[in-house]
Amino acid sequence: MIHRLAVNPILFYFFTSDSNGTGTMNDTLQREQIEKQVDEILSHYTEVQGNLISIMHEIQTLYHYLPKEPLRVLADRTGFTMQRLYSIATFYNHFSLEPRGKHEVHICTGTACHVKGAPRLVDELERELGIKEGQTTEDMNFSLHAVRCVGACSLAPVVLVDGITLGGATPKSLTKLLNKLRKEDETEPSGGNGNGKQP
Amino acid sequence: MAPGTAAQRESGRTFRPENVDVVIRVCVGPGGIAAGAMDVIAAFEAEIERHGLHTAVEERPCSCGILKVGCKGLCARDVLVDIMQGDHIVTYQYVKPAMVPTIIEQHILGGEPVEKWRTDDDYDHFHRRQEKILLKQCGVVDPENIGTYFEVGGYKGAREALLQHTPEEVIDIVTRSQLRGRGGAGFPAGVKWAATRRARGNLKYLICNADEGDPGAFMDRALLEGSPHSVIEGMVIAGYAIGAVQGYIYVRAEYPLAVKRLRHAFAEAYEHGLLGKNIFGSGADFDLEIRLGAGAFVCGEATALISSCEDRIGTPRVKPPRTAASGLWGRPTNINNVETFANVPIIIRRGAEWYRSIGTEASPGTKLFSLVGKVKNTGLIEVPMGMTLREIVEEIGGGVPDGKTLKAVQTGGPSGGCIPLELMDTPVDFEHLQALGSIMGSGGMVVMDEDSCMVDVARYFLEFCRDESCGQCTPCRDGTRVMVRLLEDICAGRGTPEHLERLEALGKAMEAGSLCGLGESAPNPVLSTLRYFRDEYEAHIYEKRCPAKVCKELITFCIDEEKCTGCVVCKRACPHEAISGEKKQLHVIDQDACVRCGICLDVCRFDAVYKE
Repeated sequence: MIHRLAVNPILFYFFTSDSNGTGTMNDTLQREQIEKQVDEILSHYTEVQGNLISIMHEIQTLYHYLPKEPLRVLADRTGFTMQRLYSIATFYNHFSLEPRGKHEVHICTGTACHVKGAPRLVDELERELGIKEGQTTEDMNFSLHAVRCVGACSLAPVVLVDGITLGGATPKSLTKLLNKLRKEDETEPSGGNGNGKQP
Repeated sequence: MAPGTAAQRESGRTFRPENVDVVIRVCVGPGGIAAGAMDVIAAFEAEIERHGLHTAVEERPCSCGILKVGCKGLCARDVLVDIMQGDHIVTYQYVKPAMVPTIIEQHILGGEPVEKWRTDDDYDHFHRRQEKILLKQCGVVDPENIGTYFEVGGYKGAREALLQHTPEEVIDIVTRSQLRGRGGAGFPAGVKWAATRRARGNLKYLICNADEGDPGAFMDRALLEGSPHSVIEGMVIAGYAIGAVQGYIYVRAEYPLAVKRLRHAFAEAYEHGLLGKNIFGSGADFDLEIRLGAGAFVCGEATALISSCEDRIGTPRVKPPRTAASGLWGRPTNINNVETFANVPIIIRRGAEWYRSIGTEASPGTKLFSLVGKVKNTGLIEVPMGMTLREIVEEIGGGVPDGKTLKAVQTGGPSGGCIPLELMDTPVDFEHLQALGSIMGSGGMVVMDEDSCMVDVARYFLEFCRDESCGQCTPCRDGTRVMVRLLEDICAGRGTPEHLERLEALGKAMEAGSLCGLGESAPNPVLSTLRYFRDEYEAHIYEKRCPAKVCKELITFCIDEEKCTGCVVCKRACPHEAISGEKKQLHVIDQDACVRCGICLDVCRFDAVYKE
């Protein structure tokens, strides 16, 4: 994960703000509101020590990724340094510092899925969505991730779409599902980039 | 006697199976839910509502209740539904919501089981050779209802341990049972407990390792989701034995349902006084909390797991000191796997001698395996230690489907190895698997057939280890990287004999020089496939040929002139427009445009497309 950004990722992270470039943080999300949200999450815990990863999980669930501002608030409130939070956010695969698409597609590439054709599913979805594994489509509609074993091996190959398991997946069944999701989005357009979505 | 007062036992039961005439048991294990168990349950509820089957009425003396149970084993047939009328059980397979009205009307109301949807002989074969000790509860109790766990003798073991034995006696029983850690290494649990008990310091911790990261394994998930109380009960006993008052269950974030069910189970256990202060009036205290992982395989290693519990990145450290001397926050800490803890209450209840009578002399008891891959009956199984691989794959698993031949069985995940067909009669226990260059691991068992390329499999595992290496020590960080590159070369037909020598040398260096188990065992998949499937490597190198026809660079897709009817199905399906040919004329694949995705092979109804 650390080598995802080409040059000096830590500097890159600290000296850019969320609002430029990717245009991810909604401008109306003021610091006060973020503080309120982070405090609310912190109130679930009697002590911070030992629970940092759980807290970061909750932040990611709330914003759908780990935006910088809430992490700054978290650092202020708990005394952990931004460096520490950054190290955790980049070490663990589950965390993302970049916004993710409205629909998250996770292709399981566990052993059972691998021998039953997961690599082909990855190829096919990369082609279908026009992105590489780990990326998000430009319209912020789909993110594609290969994950290591979701523990539903007896139904291999398995794909999770927005947390729902699709067993015995084939390129055909996936294309069908993507089209269905696209159609649903067309009929009920719901505010674009998926920020603040609860998975 | 179930633990707790009668009133406590009462309140634990929101649903009493004996109060209804028909119990509908639906599998809500990992496989069941993925196959749509929740929709099936909703359909049953709607039908029960529609027919007014909640209570018996005079003209129709029949009432129904739905019981959600954990993994029933044969996940390939999910959703599995048992219709229980007294002792009479009828099991349906592949149940879909649309089938529910018929089951209710024809079977429950009409008394005629729907024969075509019932489980067949495979289901019996699958269960016949198994010995279910841990899984016995899994498919019977409702994971979200402690009352159903009491009914199968739940918390009796903890009660006995805390009220009738001293901590030393408990450790003695577990030591005599020769229970070995089920996380992979097989270290005797009793010895570990005794070391933590002996360690200096008043504050000690107990951790349950539920960071089941091995791809192809879901035993711990099934246990946590199917019978969370058996793990909690095992931890209460272990906490008492080693003198820990605080325990943690470290669960990987990929298992949200396990977390949810554990939290629910904690609340129930606290409510019944099975966690907290003065458990059973014994004076012993024990608290449990959940610690969440966040997707890092290396956190299955004990010291990395502890580092993760301490709000840091999961990097292992050098041992000694062992965690029993200095673990979480520098305190003595005992870490065991989910399955190990689940064994403990049963050992206490039935005795060390009884436990030792199951399995082999050096590895007593049973072991859970997730039997997956190219095998007919995929699912979760429990067998006594010492059963041979052939028995597991052929008799329980029903063999390889589609008339293909078995090639190898992969055990132990990325740290394990591939065991070839010739060695299928090996008994499965810690020693035998290790002697073959594989390991028992946590219990993933992936069956591979003639269509699996062993070089590709080795590359797959090395890629996994490369991605999951914490990056701390050089042999693992760089070794996995170089190994992947060498294997990629071989798969792409660029391999030379020197590649094999380098792989072997690197593998030995990594085994000797890595800091933790991940790096030490990362070369296993390569070394074991080199040992048993060297000819496949050599075919890739000398003949530039992939015998299993998997490695894309070494295969071509062709269309059989005799068989092609010119139906244009493959032409339309090809995403790269690599197939040419008019209707009713022979189709031809343009090899330059072809990316070898294999879609044409799937869609062709005349078997005209083949790999070469």
